[in-house]
Amino acid sequence: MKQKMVIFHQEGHVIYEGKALNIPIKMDAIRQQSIELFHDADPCIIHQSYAIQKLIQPLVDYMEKNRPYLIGDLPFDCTFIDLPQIESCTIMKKG
Amino acid sequence: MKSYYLDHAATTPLDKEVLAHMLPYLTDQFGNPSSIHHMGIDVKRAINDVRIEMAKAFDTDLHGVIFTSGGTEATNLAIRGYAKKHPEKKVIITSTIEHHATIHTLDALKEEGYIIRECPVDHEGFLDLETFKSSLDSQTLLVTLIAANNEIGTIQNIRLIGQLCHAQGVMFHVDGVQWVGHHHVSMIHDHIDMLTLSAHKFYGPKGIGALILKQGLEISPILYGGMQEKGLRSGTEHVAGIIGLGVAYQLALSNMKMQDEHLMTLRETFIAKMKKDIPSCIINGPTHDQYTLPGLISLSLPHIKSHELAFALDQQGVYVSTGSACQSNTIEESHVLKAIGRSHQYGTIRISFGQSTTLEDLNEVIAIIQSIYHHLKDE
Repeated sequence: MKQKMVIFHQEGHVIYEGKALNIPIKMDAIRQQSIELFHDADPCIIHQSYAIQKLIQPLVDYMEKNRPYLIGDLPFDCTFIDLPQIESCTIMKKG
Repeated sequence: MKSYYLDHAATTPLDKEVLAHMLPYLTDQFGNPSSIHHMGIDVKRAINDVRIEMAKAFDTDLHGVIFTSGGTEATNLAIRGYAKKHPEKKVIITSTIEHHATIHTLDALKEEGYIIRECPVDHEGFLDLETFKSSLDSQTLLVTLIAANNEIGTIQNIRLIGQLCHAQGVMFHVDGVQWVGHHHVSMIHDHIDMLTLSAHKFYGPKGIGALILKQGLEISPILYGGMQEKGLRSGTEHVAGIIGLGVAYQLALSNMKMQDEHLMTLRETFIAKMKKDIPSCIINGPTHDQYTLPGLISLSLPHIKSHELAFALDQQGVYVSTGSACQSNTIEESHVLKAIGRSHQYGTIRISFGQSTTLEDLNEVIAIIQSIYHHLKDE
């Protein structure tokens, strides 16, 4: 989770660079994950953090370092990421 | 010697099905619900499942279910928590027949400058509604009332009282500890803002209760720590207790009608036989059965003392109460009996039947009471 990630807009400029855990996530997605995990629609900050990690972890584990991936082509839904036109963005795990 | 437990208003035996659901949380599933690992998350989910069921049952939302250590804590949280959230108003209205959890919480607030107005009740324990209506005004913070009295069984007209409160913009807290096992309470339809309940009164475990809040109502905490229960009741949750509370409440709802019919049959039979043998006996509380707790009888007998009768009954295996259980270590006159005008020259016992009380038991108990009474009054 301390892994550094970069997300590029389809036009090529960087729209996010930082730790995987700090990628902006939609609150609705956190809430939905929390309902699935804890049956709690209003999680405290600690449980939110756990829910975020559960969302991000598959993405981080799947990616090879320094290889860009078109988000729309990934084998799981990444619409939980709160950035514009996310499916047409590219993501890379920095090595 | 055979024994007859007739003190269900004090506490009820733990239902076996409730115990079965609790056991895993007292053994293998011992995680802390605040822990962020599978053991903690599994129990967190389990207690939230109880919360969801209870919110649905009481017509409120998930924020409206706060688990506490019992009815006393829930009442303290309701009254003090609401007062703290709304410090601009200082007048609280209550009755003369409240449980000590309410009385002493209000005593403490009185010392902090709050004005407590006690509305009288009539000889059957019903709130004097005219005095009550005239007490409500724009300075009233809160009304707090016991729905079903634990000593004499009187059930107040909660819906009407709630409507009267809301017409004046006043919050309404109900001590529902004795009531919720006999009435399917809805925060909406019963016009209640805050409701206290306690599991061990409806065949659940001791040490767990809940404060139910109307959807959207905010209060302040009175216990500080790890911010559990959305910050309103800190402290590691009594997981097994919460599970037990949930199961016990669902069973209470399912069994309510049948149980109450059984209890009412026992009550009517008991009263008829007692009045036949001891015509001077008095049954305290409402005349009409529909306004009284079905299994509870407050029996006053002339020429004897309450504690002497209770002691003698105990020696014969009949377990009853003199007034409310939490007062039983004092021999003061019951404030409830005083409020309804019962003379202290009568000895009074509280008999409260339960699911397992049978008509056969009743006949044997009545014979024992009659025998002991005639013996004691002749001494």
